Amino acid sequence: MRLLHGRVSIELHTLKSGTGRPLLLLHALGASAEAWSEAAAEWYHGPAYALDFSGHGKSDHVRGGAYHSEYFLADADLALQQIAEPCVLVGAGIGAYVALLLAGARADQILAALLLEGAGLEGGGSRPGHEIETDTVPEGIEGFERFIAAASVDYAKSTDPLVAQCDRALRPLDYVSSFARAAKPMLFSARVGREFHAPDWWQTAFEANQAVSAPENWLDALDALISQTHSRGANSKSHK
Amino acid sequence: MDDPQHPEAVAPERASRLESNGVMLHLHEWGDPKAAPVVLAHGMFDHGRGFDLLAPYLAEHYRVVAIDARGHGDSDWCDSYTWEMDVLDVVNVLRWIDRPAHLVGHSKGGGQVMDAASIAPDRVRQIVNMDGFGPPDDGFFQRPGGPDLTALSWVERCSLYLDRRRRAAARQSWRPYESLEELVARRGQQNPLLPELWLRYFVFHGARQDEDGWRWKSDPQIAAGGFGPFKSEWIAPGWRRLRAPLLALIGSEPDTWGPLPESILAGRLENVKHLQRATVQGCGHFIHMQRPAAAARLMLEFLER
Repeated sequence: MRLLHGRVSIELHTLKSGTGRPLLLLHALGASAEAWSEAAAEWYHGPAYALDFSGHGKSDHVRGGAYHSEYFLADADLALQQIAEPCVLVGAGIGAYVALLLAGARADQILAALLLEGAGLEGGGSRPGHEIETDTVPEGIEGFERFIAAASVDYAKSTDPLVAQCDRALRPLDYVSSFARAAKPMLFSARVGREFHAPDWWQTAFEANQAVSAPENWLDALDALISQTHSRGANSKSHK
Repeated sequence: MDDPQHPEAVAPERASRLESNGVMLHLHEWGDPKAAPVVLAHGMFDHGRGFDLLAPYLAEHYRVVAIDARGHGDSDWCDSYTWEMDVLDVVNVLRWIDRPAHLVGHSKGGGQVMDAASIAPDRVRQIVNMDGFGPPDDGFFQRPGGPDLTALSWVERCSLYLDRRRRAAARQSWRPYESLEELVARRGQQNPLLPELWLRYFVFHGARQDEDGWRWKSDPQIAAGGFGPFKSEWIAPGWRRLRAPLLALIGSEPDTWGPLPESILAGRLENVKHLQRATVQGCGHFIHMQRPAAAARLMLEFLER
C-alpha cells in the first residue's frame, strides 16, 4: 500500500497477512523489500510487512537527493502508524540503524528488534575526521562523487544513487546510546564483529541496550525475546 | 498592485536556471558578465533578492551571482533538506561559472559558503561570511517564541520530529495571508531591526499572490524542521581545512540570530588560517540589508580584483 511522507509516496508491502504481532522488515541500503523474499516471511507466525525506504524499490526518489538516516526513520515511523499496532522490527544494514532509532524513539510501540548486517551498516564514523590536518583536502567534492558512484554500483536498479550519502553520515556514540538505552532489549546479529566489521556505534549500542547476541537460529531467540519483553512490559505497567 | 519600490534597491539584470542534483536553482545576476565573479548565498527563509541593496555596489567591479537556495525564492522545492545538499548547490554554481570566484554568504549561507570552499578549494578565491558562524553551543533548539527544547534528550527531540513528519503528510503548503501587509508584519516581528520600507520590498519578492491570498515562496517543509545528530562543536574544527582567506563580519547590535558571544566566536575563528575581522556599526544580523554601503566598502577593500 502507498503511504505519503510529505510529498514522497512510499510503498509498504504486505508479505503475509494473519493475526498476532506484526513484523516490520527494513531493508539494507540500495536494496528493497524484495530482499525479504516471501520465504523470509514464512518463518514468521504473524503478519509481515516490508517497507521500501524513500529512493528505493517502488518508493519515490526524494526530489533534491537530501537523503539521511532520520528521513528513512520517518518513513519507517509512517509504516508503524499505518500498521497501527506494536511491531517487531527486523532491520539489515542501514535498516538495522533505523530500527535502533525507531526502537528508541517509539519504545512503547516496538516490541522487539533484531539488527542484522547489510549495506549501510558502517556509517561515516562517530565523529568528524577533523584531526586530519593536511594541506590537501582529504574528501572534497570529487571524493564525495566518487563515493556515491562506487557505492551505488551494487544497488538495485531502482535505487537513487544519492542514498549512498547515508553511509557517510556521522553516528555519534552519545546519540546512538541514548536511543539504545530507551529501547527494549534487542537482538544483534552475532555475525557482525565475527564475519563483518562492527562499527563503533554497533558496539556502543549493544552495551547501552544490554542487547543479546543473536545466534544463527535467531528466529527462536527473537520469539523468546518477544515473549520476554511482552511479560516484562506487562509487569512494568502493573507497577505504575 | 504595483511592485513595492525601494530607492536604493537595484533589481537583477539577468536571471538563469541551473540544475543541481535534480532541482532547478534560480540565479540572479548583476554587473559585467566578463568581470571576475562573486557568488552570494542568503540565509534561512531569505532569498536572492535580499541582496538588491548590496549587489549594486559589488557589481561596479564584479559579475555578481546571487543564488535562490533550494526551497527558497524562485528555486524548486525539495522533499527533504540537508546542509550537505545545500553546500553541493553552491559548488555546482561554482562549476557552472567555471572560473574561480569569491564567495559571500549571510547567516546559514555564510556557513555554507565556507563549507563549499572547503570541499572545492580550487574554485574559490576569497570568502566573506556575514554573521554565519553556526548556532550557539546549545544549538538553535530554542527558537524565538517557541518551546525550550534545549533540555530535551535526543530521543525526546526525535519523537517530536517524527510527530512533525506524520503531520507533514497533511500540510502541503502555507496557509494564505489576506494581504502583503500581514506578511510584512509577521517578518517584522521576527526581524525588528529591519526598516519598514525595506521589509515591504524584501517580503514582496519572497512571497506570491494566489487567488486565496498571499503565501511565502519558501517551502513549508523547511519550517517543519529536520532532525539528526548535529553538534555545534563539529563546526569550527572543519574550518582548519580552508585555504581561502576569510573576512568575518558581524553587526554591532544584538539581534534575533546573532552575533554569537565574542567568547564563542573568537574561539571558533581561531581555526581559520587567513582571517580578517570587522564589526559593522549600527546593524544587527542583517548587515547587508541594514548597512549595505558599509558592508560593501569592507568587502571591496578585502576582495582582490
